[in-house]
Amino acid sequence: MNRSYMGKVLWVDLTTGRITTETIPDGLYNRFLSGTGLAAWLLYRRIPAGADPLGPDNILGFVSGILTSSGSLFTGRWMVVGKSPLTGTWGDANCGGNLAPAIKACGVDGIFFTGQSNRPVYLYADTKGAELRDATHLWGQDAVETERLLVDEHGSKQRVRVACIGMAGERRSLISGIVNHGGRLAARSGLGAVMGAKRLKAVVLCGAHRVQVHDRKAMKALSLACNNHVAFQPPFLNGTMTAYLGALMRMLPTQMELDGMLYKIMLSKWGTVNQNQMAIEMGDAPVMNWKGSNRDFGLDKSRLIDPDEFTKPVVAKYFCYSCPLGCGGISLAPDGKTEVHRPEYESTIALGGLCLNEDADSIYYLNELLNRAGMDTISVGGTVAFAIECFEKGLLSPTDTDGLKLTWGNTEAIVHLVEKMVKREGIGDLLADGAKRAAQKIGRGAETMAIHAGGQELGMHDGRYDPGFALHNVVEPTPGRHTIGAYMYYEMFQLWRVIPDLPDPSLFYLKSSKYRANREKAAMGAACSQYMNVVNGAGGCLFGAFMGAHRIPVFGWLNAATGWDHSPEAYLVIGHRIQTVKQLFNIKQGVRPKDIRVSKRVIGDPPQQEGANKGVTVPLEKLRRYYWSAMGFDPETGVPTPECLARLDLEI
Amino acid sequence: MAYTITHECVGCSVCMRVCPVDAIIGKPKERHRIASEICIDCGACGRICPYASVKNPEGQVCERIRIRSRWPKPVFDYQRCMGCTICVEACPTGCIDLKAERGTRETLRYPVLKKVRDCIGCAFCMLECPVDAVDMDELAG
Repeated sequence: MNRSYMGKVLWVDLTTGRITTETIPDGLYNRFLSGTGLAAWLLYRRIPAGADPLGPDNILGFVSGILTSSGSLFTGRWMVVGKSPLTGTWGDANCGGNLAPAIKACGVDGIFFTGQSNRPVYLYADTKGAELRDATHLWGQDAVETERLLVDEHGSKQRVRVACIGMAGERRSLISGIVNHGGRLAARSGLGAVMGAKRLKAVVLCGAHRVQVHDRKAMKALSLACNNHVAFQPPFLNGTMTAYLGALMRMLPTQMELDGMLYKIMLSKWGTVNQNQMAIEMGDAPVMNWKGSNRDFGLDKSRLIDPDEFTKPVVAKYFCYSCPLGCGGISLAPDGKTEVHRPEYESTIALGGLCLNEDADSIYYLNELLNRAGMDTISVGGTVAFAIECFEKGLLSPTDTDGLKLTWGNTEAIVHLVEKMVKREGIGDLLADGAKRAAQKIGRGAETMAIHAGGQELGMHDGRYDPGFALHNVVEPTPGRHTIGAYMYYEMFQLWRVIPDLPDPSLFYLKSSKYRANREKAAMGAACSQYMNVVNGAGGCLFGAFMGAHRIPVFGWLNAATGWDHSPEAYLVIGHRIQTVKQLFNIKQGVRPKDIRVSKRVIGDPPQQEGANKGVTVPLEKLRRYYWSAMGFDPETGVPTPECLARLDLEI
Repeated sequence: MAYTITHECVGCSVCMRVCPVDAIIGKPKERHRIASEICIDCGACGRICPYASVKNPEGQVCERIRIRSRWPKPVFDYQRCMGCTICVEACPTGCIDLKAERGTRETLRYPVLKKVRDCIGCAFCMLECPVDAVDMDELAG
């Protein structure tokens, strides 16, 4: 079968220990691709309504994309799926590292876990088959150490790839994730807690199956052409200049359509931390639990996260599987020997500006602490900022915080607080399940300070700067997701170059035009959702997609790998179908789409009095109605209409 | 499709020892069999068999390369290589790794044949490389 997918998935019942293989018909790949698409269809049908996310009825899946191991580039993402214990909705999390090809090397496109083990176990799978093994000796180990122990145990003459949980997942922290390759995390949706609740410590993959594609020559030609764009790397500004560029962008009344090649050049030079200061200056990065601005964390305070300064400890680039760009960084721990991952932009802002923490060393320290614990740096930063504001407002006292003086920018207190969250110790236990749940326990108005969408803390991109972020925070079936859509994402995807019916933004436009809700904005949002479902079904990387649909041939690769002959429009219909199934998943689980809300503060209600996003309010309700309408969902309820289901061949 | 073992097999088991995925079944001095659902078509059994008793998926008898150190080995063109690690993940024996170089944020870690003796000459690394940065060379070992 030369179609780039393996045609099978593995089912592991942790209650009985039974392991079975299910053959997936070709038609399902044609309708849902692989990755989160196929997984959404399977889990929608098989997780019973009202399932406890931390109970045996929930299903936890590890999936690879249809393009992984096909000879394409930027397609090494693996995804973990299940019902999120953090939001009660469809949950998925996406990670690079090296696990995606290892899933297919075991001869399957996904591995799904049902039931619940009564003792710690791990799954061992190779070319011959799979079995559950005792993991008692690993329980309590951090994720990086767990991976090292498992590689040592299995790796004399084979390639060993591991995904596992750290202490946070074991302790069922609802903001815990799943870890791969020395500290890369599938962090979002709290799926580490699902793994911990199932007492599944790790997945160890040692297969060697090859993926067969329909037209390898065509794949190579497309990859070579794509790589030519990646290789274009002219000299660029230094770190300080990026901050001034951000300040300039703040001051101008107009904005320029963003070409992803510019972002690619910056990514290649510094990694995601390229935008540390620039994002603060132009209003993209939230500050001080989303109530501050660049005025509170100006260039004097953010100087240690200047991209040049912040990447000084980096000793080599880090590449996820099949990535020609290498936006990751390997840096040295203070011992000068141990290699750790450089913090990403999201972690840097969440643990930095969001808490007014100026200390770059503490960000490196906390990043590694959380990577080893398997905890989401975004949610941790958001929850710490929430706790600081509660302390400021007198809702938490030093007695509640075990003596910690939780003031803005108090690095020592922030570090101790995060250590307590990892251990679920004292105040840390209250905060280890995220800001929303902590606010419910604290009460007395703390809910207004818990910044989340549907229960999940938000990524470090401000909807007041780009209302597309605000929109996707509430319309995505996984609320609080920053990696699907935004107006600037749409500009970078450049989908109108391959699908002429889609809106073509002006090269220059007034910033004020961003805050209008209309059908064009909705069409842009819907296209982002649909396209990213295709990208995630392919196992693709968002940063690759940023280069533009005319430079990264996702649709061409899909056709060459599978032998299909779909148009780009037809692929967006597949993306639309996947998004709709995820929406149906939420409705089946009792989540009404219109009940998914984002904290008022982040949409400028009330508007900020100063800073880059001064005076703006996002017309979110109106925007959401337009988006749902564009998706074929009821504009008031967000429920897919019968006509939409019929059009997508989803009459269930 | 998979490799197969013919009647010429004498059951010397040398193929079993070289197979990276334990796809070969059989008792000593009896004809061996390749489990087609496990076989990854690496061809190592054919290259090592002293009795010309292995056929490739196309039905041709595999040619033995008598001295294993002369089996083709990957050589990397670092002008073309972009460090994407596809070759590392393609290797069924895990014998390719990245050089652990340290420098600055610009430093690339290139692939290298780290465990030369484990290489089975399957050429998967060459076949999978999207930018033709890997070649197989009989002298590289």
